[in-house]
Amino acid sequence: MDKYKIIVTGPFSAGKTTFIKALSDTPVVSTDEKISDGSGDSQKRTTTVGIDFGRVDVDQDLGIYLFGTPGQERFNFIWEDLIRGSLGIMIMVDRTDFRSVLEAKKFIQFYTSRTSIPIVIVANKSDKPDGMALEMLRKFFDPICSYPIIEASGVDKLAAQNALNTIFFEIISQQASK
Amino acid sequence: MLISGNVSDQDLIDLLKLINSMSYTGVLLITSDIGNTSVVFDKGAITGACTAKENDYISELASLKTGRYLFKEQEVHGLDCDHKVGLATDVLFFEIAKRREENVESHLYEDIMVFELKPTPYFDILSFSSEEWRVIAMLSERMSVSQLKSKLNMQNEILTKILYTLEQSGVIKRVRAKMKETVKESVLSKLKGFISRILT
Repeated sequence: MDKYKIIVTGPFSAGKTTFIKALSDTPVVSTDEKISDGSGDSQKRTTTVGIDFGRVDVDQDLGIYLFGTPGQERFNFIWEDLIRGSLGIMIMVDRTDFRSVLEAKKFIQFYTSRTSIPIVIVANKSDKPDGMALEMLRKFFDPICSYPIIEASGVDKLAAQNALNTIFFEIISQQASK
Repeated sequence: MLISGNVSDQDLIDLLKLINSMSYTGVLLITSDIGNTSVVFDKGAITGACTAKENDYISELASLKTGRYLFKEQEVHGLDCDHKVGLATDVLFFEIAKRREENVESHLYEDIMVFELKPTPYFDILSFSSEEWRVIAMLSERMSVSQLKSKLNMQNEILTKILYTLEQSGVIKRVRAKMKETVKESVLSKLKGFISRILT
């Protein structure tokens, strides 16, 4: 089976692990640990300290690995290491948390300058009320990028699949325009 | 959405930009060791400010490094502010960025990164320093940070500060890395098949 990977990245508590679990056709290998450094909110008790990975079977000959990065900036060496050989990047944002939106800007800046592979911004936790509207997110991110922004939720498999389709579509479009 | 947190956790300019993007009306209150500083937003536009210490609200906003902030949506007509803000928001961001003293996060301005000028309607009214003009002149064509360093013979800290100021005010933008990756046609057709299956 051919294996390719997609990076699922974004700020702390953006919902990366849950998103990968929603999509993966195999049990997700997770490296969550109890939060010990005081970062984050009271709702989140664990955080990814290594890399999460799941697999989406595109067909019997092609598997796409989803690599979830840790969100904290001190792990940015991992963000960079994962770029090599990746097909695309999904930058997750918790649209209900303005701090997540602010932090996402750094991820966008970080990856924009390092790679040309397609990037999609995933406005996650769309199942929750009071999230920022897509047009507001677009207005905030517009000065720095024009990547597609798509709604998703880790608890809604269909919405997560829709986000995955968007990054696949971007990969196909980019190759077609070469 | 409640907006509150520590000033040290966020770039204050990004926070102002976010409230601006959300077109909110209300007051951002920043409580720090110098007292209370507040910024008034009317449908996202910054219309007023109250300072705790400085006579100049831009210098005070630029100097805030610690403390707590809280944004609350509220009616702002009739609010008594020390300072009326008549500057366009991008101009204000430029002035605040320029006066900030702390070090810029260096990993966001590494040698490989490429920048270019971005057309902005405020370009004519921004008051650039001679060093900023030198960077702007170079970026009339795309250039990497390492090229800028060698052509301008400028210290890394000074250059990254200028790039940060120009980027925060929308005068320059970063350019995507060059295209190198090629995906096999067989993989692309399988991805197409996957999308079709999901959509049907």
